[in-house]
Amino acid sequence: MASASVTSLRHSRPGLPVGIRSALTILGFAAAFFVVQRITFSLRFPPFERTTVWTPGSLFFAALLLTPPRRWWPYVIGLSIGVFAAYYGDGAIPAARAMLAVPCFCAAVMPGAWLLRRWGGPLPFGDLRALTAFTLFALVIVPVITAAPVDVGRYLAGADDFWPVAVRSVLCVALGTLIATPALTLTFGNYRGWARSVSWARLGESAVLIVALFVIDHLAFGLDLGAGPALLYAPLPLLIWAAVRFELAGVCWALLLLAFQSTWGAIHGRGPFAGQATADGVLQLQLFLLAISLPLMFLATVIREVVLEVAARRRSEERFRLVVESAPNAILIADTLGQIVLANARSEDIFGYRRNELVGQSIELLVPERYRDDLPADLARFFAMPSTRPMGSGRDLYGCRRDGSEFPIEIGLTLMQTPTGPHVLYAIVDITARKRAEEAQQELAHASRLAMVGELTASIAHEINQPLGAILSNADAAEMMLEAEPPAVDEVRHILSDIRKDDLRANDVIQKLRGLLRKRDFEMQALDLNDIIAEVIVLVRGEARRRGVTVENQFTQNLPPVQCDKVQLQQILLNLFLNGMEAMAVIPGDKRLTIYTTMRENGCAEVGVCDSGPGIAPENLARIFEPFFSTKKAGMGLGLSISRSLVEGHGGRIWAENLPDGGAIFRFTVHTDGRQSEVKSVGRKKSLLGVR
Amino acid sequence: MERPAPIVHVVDDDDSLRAALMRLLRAAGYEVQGYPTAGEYLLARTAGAPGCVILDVELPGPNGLDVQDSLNRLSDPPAIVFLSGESDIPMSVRAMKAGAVDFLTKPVQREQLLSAVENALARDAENRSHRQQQNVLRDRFESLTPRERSVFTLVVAGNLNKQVAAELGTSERTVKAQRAQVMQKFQAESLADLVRAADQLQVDGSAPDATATSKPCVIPSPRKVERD
Repeated sequence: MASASVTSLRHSRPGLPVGIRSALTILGFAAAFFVVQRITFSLRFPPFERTTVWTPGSLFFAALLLTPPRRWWPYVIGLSIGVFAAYYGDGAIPAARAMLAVPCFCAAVMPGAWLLRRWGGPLPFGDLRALTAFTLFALVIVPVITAAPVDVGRYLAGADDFWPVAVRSVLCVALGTLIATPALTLTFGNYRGWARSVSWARLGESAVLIVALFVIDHLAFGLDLGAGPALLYAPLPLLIWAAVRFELAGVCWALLLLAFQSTWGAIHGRGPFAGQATADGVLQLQLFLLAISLPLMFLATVIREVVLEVAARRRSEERFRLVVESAPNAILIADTLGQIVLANARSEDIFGYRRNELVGQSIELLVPERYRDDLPADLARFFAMPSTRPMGSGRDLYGCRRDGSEFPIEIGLTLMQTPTGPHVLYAIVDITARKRAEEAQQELAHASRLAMVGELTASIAHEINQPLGAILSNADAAEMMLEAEPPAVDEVRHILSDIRKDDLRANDVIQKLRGLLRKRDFEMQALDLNDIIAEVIVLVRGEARRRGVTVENQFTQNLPPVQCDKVQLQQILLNLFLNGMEAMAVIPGDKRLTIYTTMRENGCAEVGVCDSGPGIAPENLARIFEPFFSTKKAGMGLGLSISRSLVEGHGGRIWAENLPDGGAIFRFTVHTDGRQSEVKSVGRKKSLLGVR
Repeated sequence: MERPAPIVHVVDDDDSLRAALMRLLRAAGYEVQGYPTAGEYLLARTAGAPGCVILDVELPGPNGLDVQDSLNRLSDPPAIVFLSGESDIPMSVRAMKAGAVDFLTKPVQREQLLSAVENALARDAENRSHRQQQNVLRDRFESLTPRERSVFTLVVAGNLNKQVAAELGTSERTVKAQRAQVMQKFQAESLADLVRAADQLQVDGSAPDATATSKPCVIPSPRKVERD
C-alpha cells in the first residue's frame, strides 16, 4: 500500500545511513504520491480535469506534519518526482505544467505544517483549538495558493467559466486536505499506539463499520434506486458511530470512503448527484461533503476531549482513593452535620468498626460519651473560621473504639468544598505510642533530676544546715539573754528577726528542691530567664563553694519573658552547671563558672555557661550530647543527652564549643514570648493539646 | 602575772550563722571575735594571745582543714573546734589527728558548743604552759657551752663519768665538774631530773612542728661531737 511506505520510511531504523534513508524516503514518497494521484485521476469527471476531492496533497501535508523541518527536503523531492511521474502522459494537464503546482503546494503547506508542528504538539488536531486552526489552513490558505497558478492562468486567458471552475478546484483541494490530512497524520503518527491498544473486539467493530459504511454508501450513492436525495443522509449514523468510537482518524477515514464512493457514483451517473448537469453535480457533491465533514470532525474532537477529561477525572479520583486508603492515619469525611460519608482502611483498624458501619453514622460514634457534648461547639468554631488546623486546641482528645475503650488521638480538620456542599475531612492519628514515649521521657528526665540532686546532697544539706544552725544558736543565745539580769530584750528582738530570716532562707532552698524533684506535667509559661537562672544558682551555691568554684553571672537585663517549662529549664541549667564544675575539678588554681544571658536576633534568648576547665577534646565535641557518652568515670552519660532533648522540646538548640583561652562553653537557646507560635516538637504538641 | 582574757575566734563565711554563734558565746560570757574568712583571722591574730578558734570546715577557697594545717605550722598553733555542715568521718578523723579539740556538726547544740569551747580554752592553756616549760628548758640548754652539751648528751644517754671522759678524751674529774655545771644550769637535783628534761627536749625535737619553731633545739649526736 502506498501510505505504508511512508510509515516504513519514517520509522526506518536509526542504524541506516542518512543517505540511504533519504533515498528510500524520496523513492517511497514519490511512489506513494504516484499511486494516490493515479487513484484520484480515476475519479475525475470526464469533461473536467478535476475531481471532487484531491487527496494526494494531504499525503505531503501529513508527511511534513510528522517530520521535523530539517527532514522535509526528501519529501519535496519525492513530491516533485511523484507529480511528474503521475502527470507524465496524462492527457488533461501536461506534466511540465503540473510541475508548477509543486512550489505552490510547498508554499501553501509548509508554513501551515510548521505552525501546526510548533503549536499543535506531537499530534495536531488534538483539541478544538488546534482543529480550528487546521481547518482554516486546509479550507482557505492551502487550496487558494495551490490552485492559484492554474486559476490565474485561466483568468488571464479570459476563460468564460472562470468562477465556477475556480470555486470547484479550490473546494476540491480544500476537501481533500481537510479530510485526508488528519486521517493520514493520526494513523501513521500513532500507529504504534494503536497497534498496542488494538483488540479483537475493536478490530471486529471497525471491520463491521467499514463494511456497513461501504454498503450504505453504495446503496445511497452507487446504485440508482431512484430515491433521489432521500438517502443522502443514510451514512450519517455510521459516520457518527465512527466519530464516537474511533475519534477523528476514524471519522476522517469514513468520510474519505464516503467521498470516493459518492464521487464514483456521480461519475458513473448514479446517486442523487447524477441527474443534474455534471458541473453543478460536482459543486453540490463538494458542498454536501463539506457540510457533513466539518461538524463530524468537530464532534469527534469534542468527544475525544470529553473522554480524556472523564478519564483524567477518573484517574484523579482513583489517586485520591488510593491516597486516602493508604494513608497511615484514619481519614473520615463527614458533612456539616457530622454524618460520615467516607472512611478509609486505617479508620477501620483504629476504631474497630467496619467501613459500612461507619458510613452514614454520626461522627459522635467515635467520641467518648463524656466528650460528646463538646463536639457541636468544636465544629461550630471550625466552620466559623475554617482553616486547616488541629481540632480542640488546648486539650487532650480521645477516640472511642467499638469495644468502648478510649485512646488518645490528634485530629486535623480540613474543610472541603464539594458539589454536595461543604464537608469536613478528619485526619485522625492514634497517639497512644507517642504519649507513652513522652511519659517515658518525662520519667527519664525526672530520674535524671533525682540523680543530679543526689550529687548535690552534701552541698544542699549545707545550704539548709547553715540557716538551721544559725536559728538554733540564736535561740540558745536568746534563752540565755532572757535568763540574764536584766534580760536583754532588745537583743532578743533582733535575734527573733534573724531567726525568721534564717527560717525563710532554709525554706527557700527546700521549696526550690521540692519544685525540682516533684513529678509533674509539662507546663509552658512565660517566665523571666534571669530569675530562673538565679534560682538554680542558689541550689548549686553550696556545691560551688565546696569545690572552690566562683560563680559569676553576666545577665542581660530586660530580656523578654521566655516560653518554657520552668522545671525542665532548671534541669538543663543544673546539668550544665554541674558539668562545668565537674570539668574544673582537675585543674589547680582559678575555677570560674560564668553564666550569661543574651538576646539573639531571631527572637530567641541564649544562655551560655562557661567554665575555666581544660575544655572538651575535639574528637568528643560532636559526641557529648549522645546518650551514654561520658568522659567521667562515674558518669552515666545521660545528663547532656537529656538536656538536649529538653532544649529541643522547647524548640531551641544546644551546642558546645571550646573557648580560645581555655575552658568550654555550653550554649542553648529558648524562644521568647513573641515567638510562641514557632515552638515546635514536644513543646508545641503539648501546648496545643494542653492538659485537661 | 596579769593574763589577758581568752578570746574565742569564730571563722565562718555565713554572716547569719557567725552572728548567731557570736551572740551565743557572748551570752555565755566569752570574749568573741568573728571573721568571714580564714585570711582575715590570720591577719588579726596576735601571737601567743590566749583563746581558741571555731573554724567552719566548708570555707570558700582553702577549706577549714587546710587552714588547720597551716596554723599547725606556727610556733603557737591555736586550739581548734571545727564546725561542719555534714558529719563526714574521714574529715573528722583527719581533723582530730591534726590536733583539733572537737569536730561539731551543724546545727550545733549549745551544750556541745560551750563544752567544746571550754575544752579548747583548757587545751590552749595547757599548750601554752607546756610551750612555756619548753622554752625554759630550751633556754637552759642553750646556755650550755659546747663541751657541756656534749657531756649532757652522753650523760643522759646513760654513760658513766668514766665512759664520758674516755669518749671526750679528757679526765674523769673534768667531766665530773662539767656535769655539775650542767646539773646546775638545768636546775636538776638528780640525774633523773636531767634525763626527764632531756626527754622533753628530745620529744619536742622530733615533733612535726619543731622545724618551724623560732628557737630550733638540736641535740648534737655523740658522733658529731667526736668530729669536734
